[in-house]
Amino acid sequence: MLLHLLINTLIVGSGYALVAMAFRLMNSVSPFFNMTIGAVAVLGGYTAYWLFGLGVPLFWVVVLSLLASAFFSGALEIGIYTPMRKHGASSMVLMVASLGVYTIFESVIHLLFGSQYQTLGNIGTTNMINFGVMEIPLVQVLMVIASFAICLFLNYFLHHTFMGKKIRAVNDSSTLADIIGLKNNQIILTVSILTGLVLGIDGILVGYDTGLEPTMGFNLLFKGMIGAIIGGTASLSCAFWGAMFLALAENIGVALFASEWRDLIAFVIFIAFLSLRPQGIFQKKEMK
Amino acid sequence: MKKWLLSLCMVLALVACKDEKKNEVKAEAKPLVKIGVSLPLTGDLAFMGNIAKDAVLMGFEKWKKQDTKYQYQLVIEDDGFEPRKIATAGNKLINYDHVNAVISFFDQPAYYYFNQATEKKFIHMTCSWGDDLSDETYNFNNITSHAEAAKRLVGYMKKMGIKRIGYVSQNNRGPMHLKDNMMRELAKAGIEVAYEETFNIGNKDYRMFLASVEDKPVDVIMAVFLLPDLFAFTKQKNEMGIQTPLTTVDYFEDPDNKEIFNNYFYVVASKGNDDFRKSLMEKTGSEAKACVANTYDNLDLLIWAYENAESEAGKIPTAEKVSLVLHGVKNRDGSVGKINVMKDGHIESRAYLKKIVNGQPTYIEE
Repeated sequence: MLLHLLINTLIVGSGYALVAMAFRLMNSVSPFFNMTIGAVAVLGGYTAYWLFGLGVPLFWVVVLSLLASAFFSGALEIGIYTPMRKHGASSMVLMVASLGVYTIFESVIHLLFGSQYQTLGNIGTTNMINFGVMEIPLVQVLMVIASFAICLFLNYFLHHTFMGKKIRAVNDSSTLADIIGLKNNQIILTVSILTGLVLGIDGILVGYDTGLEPTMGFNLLFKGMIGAIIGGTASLSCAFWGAMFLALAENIGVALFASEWRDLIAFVIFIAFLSLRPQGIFQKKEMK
Repeated sequence: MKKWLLSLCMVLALVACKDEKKNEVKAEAKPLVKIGVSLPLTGDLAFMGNIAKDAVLMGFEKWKKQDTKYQYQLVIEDDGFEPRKIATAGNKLINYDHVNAVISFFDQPAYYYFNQATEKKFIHMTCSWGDDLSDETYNFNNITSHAEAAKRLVGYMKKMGIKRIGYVSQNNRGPMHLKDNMMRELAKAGIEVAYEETFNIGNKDYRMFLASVEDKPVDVIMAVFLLPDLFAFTKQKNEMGIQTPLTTVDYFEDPDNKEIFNNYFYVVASKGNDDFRKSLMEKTGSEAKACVANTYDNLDLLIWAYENAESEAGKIPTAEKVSLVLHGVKNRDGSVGKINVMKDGHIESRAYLKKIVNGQPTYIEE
């Protein structure tokens, strides 16, 4: 039972962690509650579904789906958020705009693919990997590997590359970054594209694991966002471990109480952190 | 400003002329019965609503070919299965089109029309899982009852020698009502329920729960989930190496890819007899889904009741007179089999047992 608890936490937490890291990364340079994060992940999954339908080989399905997510994320930044920021839009206005974009996107997915549940690959024949004590589906193993690998990569990227340093500079103070000559919009665009790639990976893996629905974006976003907030805003690793903590709490809740409690537990933890420890688990309170 | 006003006046004049013209036609023809049909033609249930629309039109064509006492007009509106759209569609049908009867599809719209029908005294026929959507006068609910489905399924389980089951379900109204009936029948049949659990709609992670019941072996798991969640549950059960078969109501039939449910038995309301399904396929290219045949029968019953109800000369029958005729329906042939209207307005038809064999739903000989 304990083994199941830990493994399921890793699997579920990895799914949350990918969105949590994307949310944290995007939020570090463009601090508003961006609803389209869920849409970008959904686009990745549906693009893969569409390409599979056309008989495109797996490798190209993955590459093209990631490119589509990255392009969509970048296009939203250039076409909507950058012009709005130029006109002095507040975080609230940007959030409402992102909600509008999300709603339009969801409707388009409904129109193009229907409201029915879709699956990537053949859901009946899952490739399993034997770990001795238990067998785990390949896609879930890939999800765990992807989330750890992306966490390591993004940490390296942010701390050891010039672009990473620029991103951190904008995160620290966008005004100061602007004064010293950094092109904020270009940096935000780079982060959008990077976020699009991470979310595209999540969309494809979720599509393989539990299937695709036009409305799945909100759920992905909310769990990821809660993970990021629980972890705290200190670093990407905080968002990653926050997501894992959320998955662990949910699974303990299911094991101890009942499955219906899952979402309730997630949101109680969310509210508790917002009111009692808004800086998150892993971040110390800022000194004034 | 003046131009705007002028344009508005012109548009209003056009609308008035159009209505006048309509009234002229009505005066010359037989008395008109307007039937409103509220269906989810967009949104989550559009894939069912559009097929129901095809079925309704198919039934209407059949009646149009006959020499009827009254002239019938269908007014079809999209309710999107969403509260705001339901209210808009309902308001149009009742207050603008002044329909004499309404046919609705599934719970949410049915609850809206249920209240309106009682208040404004018109006939409302639906096909919904809600157990309180019919009454003795204006509201009729045409669906195989949960009691009938539970009786058939538990009877089959007993015949198969099943002794212990697990029961997992979503916590919304329909599945909960079915659960009450199932528990009653299971207790009567002496079948033990080793565990029961309810899940929120949209839950996609069942691994932890499945791990917690691995040490409670059962002969079958009754899984009452809507489609995406049922897929996730089945997939995760299989991935965890749990070989226990599943059973359910209806839901195994909904996806295109049914192989994952191979060899699982389940209980269904009738999706229509062979003739109905064949005609629907030929005329519309659509396969009947849940409630489609019932909706077809609702229109058929309604027109038949109007034709047979007493009325004053030159007028259409009142809703009360139509209701009297409907309440007299016993063993009438419908597309879902023999139809009986109960005192409480419930229209009962029998449930059937099926099994998925090679990805195809197959009837089980009883």
